[in-house]
Amino acid sequence: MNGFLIRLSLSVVFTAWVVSTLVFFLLHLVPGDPVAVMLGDWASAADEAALRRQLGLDQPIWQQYLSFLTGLLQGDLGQSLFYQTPVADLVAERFPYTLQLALMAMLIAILIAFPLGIWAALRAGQWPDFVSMSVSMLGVSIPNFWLGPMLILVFALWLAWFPVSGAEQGFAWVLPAVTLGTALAAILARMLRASMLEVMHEDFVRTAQAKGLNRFQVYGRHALANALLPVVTLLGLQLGTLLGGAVITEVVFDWPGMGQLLVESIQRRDYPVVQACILVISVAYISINGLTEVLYGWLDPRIRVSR
Amino acid sequence: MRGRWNLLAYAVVTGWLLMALSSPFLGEAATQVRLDRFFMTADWQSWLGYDQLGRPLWDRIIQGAQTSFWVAFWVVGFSALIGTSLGVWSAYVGGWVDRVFLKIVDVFLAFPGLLLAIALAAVLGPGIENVVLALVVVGWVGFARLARAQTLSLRQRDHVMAAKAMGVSDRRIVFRHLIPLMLAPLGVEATFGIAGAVLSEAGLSFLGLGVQAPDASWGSMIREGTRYLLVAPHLVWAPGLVLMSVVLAVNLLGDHWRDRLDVRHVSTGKKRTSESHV
Repeated sequence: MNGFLIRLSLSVVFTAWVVSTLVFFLLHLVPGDPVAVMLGDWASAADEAALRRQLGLDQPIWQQYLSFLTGLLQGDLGQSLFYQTPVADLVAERFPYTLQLALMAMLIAILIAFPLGIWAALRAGQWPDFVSMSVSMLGVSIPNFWLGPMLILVFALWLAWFPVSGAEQGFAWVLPAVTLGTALAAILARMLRASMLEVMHEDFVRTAQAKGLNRFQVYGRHALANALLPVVTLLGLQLGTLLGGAVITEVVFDWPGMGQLLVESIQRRDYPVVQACILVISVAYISINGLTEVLYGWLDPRIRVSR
Repeated sequence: MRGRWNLLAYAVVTGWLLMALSSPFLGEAATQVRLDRFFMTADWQSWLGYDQLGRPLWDRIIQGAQTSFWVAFWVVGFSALIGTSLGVWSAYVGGWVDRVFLKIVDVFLAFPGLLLAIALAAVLGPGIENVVLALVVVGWVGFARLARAQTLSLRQRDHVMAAKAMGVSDRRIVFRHLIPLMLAPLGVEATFGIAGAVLSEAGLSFLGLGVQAPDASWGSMIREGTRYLLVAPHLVWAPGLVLMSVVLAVNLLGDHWRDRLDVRHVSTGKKRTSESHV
């Protein structure tokens, strides 16, 4: 297990380095001068030179890259051009909101997907199967940026159960979390159904039935526990995807998380913040994927041994 | 029961195509600002009423269909071409080429897909060409993985071995004996790719990173409509409903063809492109 963990963390660190390098060069090598864009057409050459020096953009690219990497290692993500504060502070302020949203969305997705998927698997080929798979097909196809406004319209404007946007009020997270969780619920339900169906034809399930265990023990303990393995992997992968997908949901609901910071900063041409947001979300995604593999290896000894 | 749904899905997709292709013949109405009729309800010229700038909503939706169709067309076309060529080549050559290739694919998969597209669209600047470019950069990986996996399993088949033993050129083996056999799974992947591209284009346009005014996209229509949610909710639900129907129909057809052609999804736990993360 130790060797497995070390190899895994090395691979996470390596991927994080490659991703940060890519993000750096993506923002620094594309045609177009960020300084000119930031200051507009009417800026004087002296102003442009001053800003360029302040950003360190007058140095050769490899030197910028080196200082970027050393800064990164010390947790320094640079200075925001718009807020004039360290980017790391901004990220630290916004990240918990996104994390809260992602976790709540995942909780909602699990609460919807498990009954739906298990019901469909137990009644495979009958109308409950058809209904729950149709519902989940619908869930996969609804875009966040449409479901969100519709939920606002019904639950915030007409029924006034929840606030329209922001994060100040108590239950403000409900609508964005539902919006974000729907697609995940749909994917999970489909996956759980397929996985349950596969497991239900295994010998140990037949043995459990032959032993005379009741339905709950057969399906709950024996079938479900084994069907969960691929679902756990999917959950981990999707939590990372939620962090990325939260961008649009946060914009819809004016939720003060990383995604909104990213979109605002793109509009303000605040490149250090854009770079940091993409970096942090990607590294979170990579780390969660790594953690998922650890969890998977812990749940299923076969994985540990084969690697 | 499913048969009837599939028929409906075909009808929706056909409708989408017709809308997209008929859009150039619509004339100027869709982009003409007429402030004297803003938010006006339906009349004989526009059965969905008018938007905040007095443009007929239905004409805007048809124009949005054109945008989404061409984006999906180019994104899936380029992604399939690039991904398949690289995937087949990598698996066919094998050795260190394949190992390096696999690492590159892993790096692309290390980004959450939509985030990479947002980053690229942000860096490249808004515009429809840049949306296509960003989505191709994200989209080719799925085709590459699939084509690679297919080639790895197909090249051990007897007919490929026989062709090799007879001294058939690599080029001929790839084009006559490998690629025709992977068209079915690639086609299914392309179908889901279309659904994904339509959703992503709308998502990027919703964020203001896609199609720019005065051109219409379902995503930017929803974005503009949310400002008038209380006075004119149909500005949001109408384009959204059309968008959802198209994505749903394409997804249904993908499922249908996968079952029909008996394509087992290469299950690695990684994401499938049709999922709505946006």
